[in-house]
Amino acid sequence: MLQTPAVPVLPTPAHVSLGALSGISVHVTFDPVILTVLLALVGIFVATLSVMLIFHWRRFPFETDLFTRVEHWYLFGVFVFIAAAVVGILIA
Amino acid sequence: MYLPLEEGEEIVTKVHRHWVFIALQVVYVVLLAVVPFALYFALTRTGIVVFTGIDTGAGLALGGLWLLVLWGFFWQFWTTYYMDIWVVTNRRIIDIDYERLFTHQISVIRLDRVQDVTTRIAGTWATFFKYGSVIVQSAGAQEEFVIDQISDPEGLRDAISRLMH
Repeated sequence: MLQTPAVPVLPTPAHVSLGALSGISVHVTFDPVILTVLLALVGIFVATLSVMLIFHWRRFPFETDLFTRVEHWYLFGVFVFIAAAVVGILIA
Repeated sequence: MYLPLEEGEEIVTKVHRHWVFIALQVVYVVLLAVVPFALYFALTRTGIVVFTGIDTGAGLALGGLWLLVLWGFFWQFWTTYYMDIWVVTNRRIIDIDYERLFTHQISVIRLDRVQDVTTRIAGTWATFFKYGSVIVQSAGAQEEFVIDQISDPEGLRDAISRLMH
């Protein structure tokens, strides 16, 4: 019975990396449940901060027009980042 | 915070701290926003660290949440910076001093009690960026009223001096 000699498979140069050589590999898993919990925690934090900021902006006696615009910009940013996080969780 | 102006009282000028003080905090937030992403790409591209288990969705979610937290911190910094304000009216100087959210102090001095106004620009940075302090001497119990780290302190001193006469 003819057997082919076992040839060691060596990584091609494209697969060789410093990480592979040094053996450093970080395995991190973020499943959707963990991401959802993180979203909830960050959401609570940001909601609290938002209430505090808007409370101050609305009570400030000067430059009310500016603070109204600031409130819109702030909320726009909050919704954009929350939307990005939610989309990311749905993809994950 | 309710701070009504008196009848016939008009705002002459409003002064904030110099922009360099919020710029430093903006740089801090931008670095915090950029460094994790840069570090991740640098480590994975060079192969020094091989991350597994972080896919596009998880990356987008984590990135979005991280930027959301920093977005909140940025506006908190901006609020404490911008609400730290000095309002000069034709009758009073009002100092709203915000240390942080929910911690502020309001001081008011009437212009007819002001005895002397001086400016102080101290240090290389202050000279380069043109910021400094205005010190208002009054006849009341609170003898000295310091308006600190403002841009164009000499302009404010002149404005207060004109209102005194």
